[in-house]
Amino acid sequence: MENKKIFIIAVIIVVAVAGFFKYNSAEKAPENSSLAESKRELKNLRLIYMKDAGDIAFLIEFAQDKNFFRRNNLNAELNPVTNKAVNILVAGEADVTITGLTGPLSMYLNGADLRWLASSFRNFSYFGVSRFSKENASQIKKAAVNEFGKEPHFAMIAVLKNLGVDPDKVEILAVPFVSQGAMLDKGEIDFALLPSEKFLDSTKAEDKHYVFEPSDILKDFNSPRSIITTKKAIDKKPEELRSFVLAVREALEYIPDHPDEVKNYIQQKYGFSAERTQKTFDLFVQSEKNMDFLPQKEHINGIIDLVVKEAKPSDPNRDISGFIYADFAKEAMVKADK
Amino acid sequence: MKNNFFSFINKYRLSIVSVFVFFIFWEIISRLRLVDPLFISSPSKIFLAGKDLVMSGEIFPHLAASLEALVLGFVLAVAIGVIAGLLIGFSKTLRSIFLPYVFALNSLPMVAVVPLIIIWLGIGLYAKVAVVFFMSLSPILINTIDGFQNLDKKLIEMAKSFGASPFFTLRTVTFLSIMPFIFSGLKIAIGKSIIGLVVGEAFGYGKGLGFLVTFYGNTFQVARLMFIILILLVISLIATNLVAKIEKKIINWKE
Repeated sequence: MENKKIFIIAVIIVVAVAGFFKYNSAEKAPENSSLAESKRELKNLRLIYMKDAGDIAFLIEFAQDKNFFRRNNLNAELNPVTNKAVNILVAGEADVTITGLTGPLSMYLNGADLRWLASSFRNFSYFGVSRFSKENASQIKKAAVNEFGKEPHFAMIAVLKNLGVDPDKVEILAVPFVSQGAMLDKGEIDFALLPSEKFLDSTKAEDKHYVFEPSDILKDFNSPRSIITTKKAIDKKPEELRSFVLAVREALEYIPDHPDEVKNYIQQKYGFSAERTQKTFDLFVQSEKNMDFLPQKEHINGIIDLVVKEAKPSDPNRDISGFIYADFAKEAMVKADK
Repeated sequence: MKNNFFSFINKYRLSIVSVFVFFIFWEIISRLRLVDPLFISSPSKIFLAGKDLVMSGEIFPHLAASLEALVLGFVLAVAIGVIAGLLIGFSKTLRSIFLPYVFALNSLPMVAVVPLIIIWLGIGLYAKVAVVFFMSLSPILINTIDGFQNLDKKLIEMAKSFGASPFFTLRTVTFLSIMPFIFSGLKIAIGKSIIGLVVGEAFGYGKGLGFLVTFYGNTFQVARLMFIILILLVISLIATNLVAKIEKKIINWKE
């Protein structure tokens, strides 16, 4: 009985203390009213992205940290995930994502109401790590991706072709990223596709194996990192999405024009060496060159064929023009160029 | 044969009607778009997707690969789980030493451990069997040990008073008393072994029902995904029924 009384008193004290602090912080708000007010003017947008996709994470985090979203009246709520970003988008738990096109295309051809708003840059973060040099690439018999049915799985087919290897003669395996280094060392796999430079360091790949740069292996894999949303989100938050596309456009134009600032950012944010920082910056600039910001079907015919062949969607003949929503990109190009 | 079929239908008529009504209800709400068909498909689409997979023969190599890993992993878990459970349950000392590890095994998030298993055992059958084994082991272990805790001491004393040797008491009274607990553990382990199978087959050579679950899930082929889930359910049901039949034969005094 005594214990019960003590417990009840303790709960009351905890609730009272919590309430006191909450009341105090609410009371303080008027002192920072300009901040509070400016926060209220900002429109909220839930942005989801794969944190292990180094190139996408870099663009989004750079745009956030350098206030490109805020300057366009956006309060972008960043949600980095390790998996299922587009599934979460389709489920309505996020408003927009930047990702490769194969996943969204596959979902669209399976009936999802996704929309492709804009392209940003070509994928520049898939690194190939191989036990064999390019000249001996034909010896690759087992190639590893992190998961079946995701973009790296589809990219692997194009990567093997670029290395002069027949993908039908190679077994594609799914091996978790953290295990790929050890599996390469043991010879259990011959080739792995890593999604980011971070994994090169953790696997010490450059010391032990042959590393192929994205520009070498992704030549014909035209699946640009694209801004993807849903029809529901466009109906509900058109202004926010318009602002987001504009902010991304501005960030894309800013990066190549401010190399020192960007390289400094990369080095501090990701802890890369000076050499890796320069490579990353060069890769980004290269990936953006001649990239059409506007979403256009002609640019992705190869990817559509790949998705239809490998993913076998339920409606492969669904009209792709329904997937494309170019209005925001057109406006962004005009505004940003001004 | 005909009589057997009708008596089977008669025996399970309520269950059959309930399942039938559920599928009809699901089909109706899917067609009326009360649920998003993108997330849950419909029985008719699942049936057509399944028909495709079966008629093309695409499903059978995957089914065979999964059954191989499932049976091997489960049988290993039963053998080691029952023997280890008996030893740990019987000895107070062993219980004190091993019980924390048994409970740790039960709480182990297998998804986090799979990368390590792949490094230790490679990509292939051994890794899949290991995942199924570890997932199935803990309920068998825990239930067998629990069986000892719930032993009726009066039965042991009675056997002793009738002059039974310790080994005879162990073999008859003790072992038969804890059998219901062991079989309960087996039935729980079946469900966990299926989970282990799907987790284990998400990685590796792209073979097995778990691979199909991952691939169809990632490429949003919901109808095919749900058909595979249905197959896994059926495997689980058949295995549970089999265990129940064996239990009935062995523990025939319960009736």
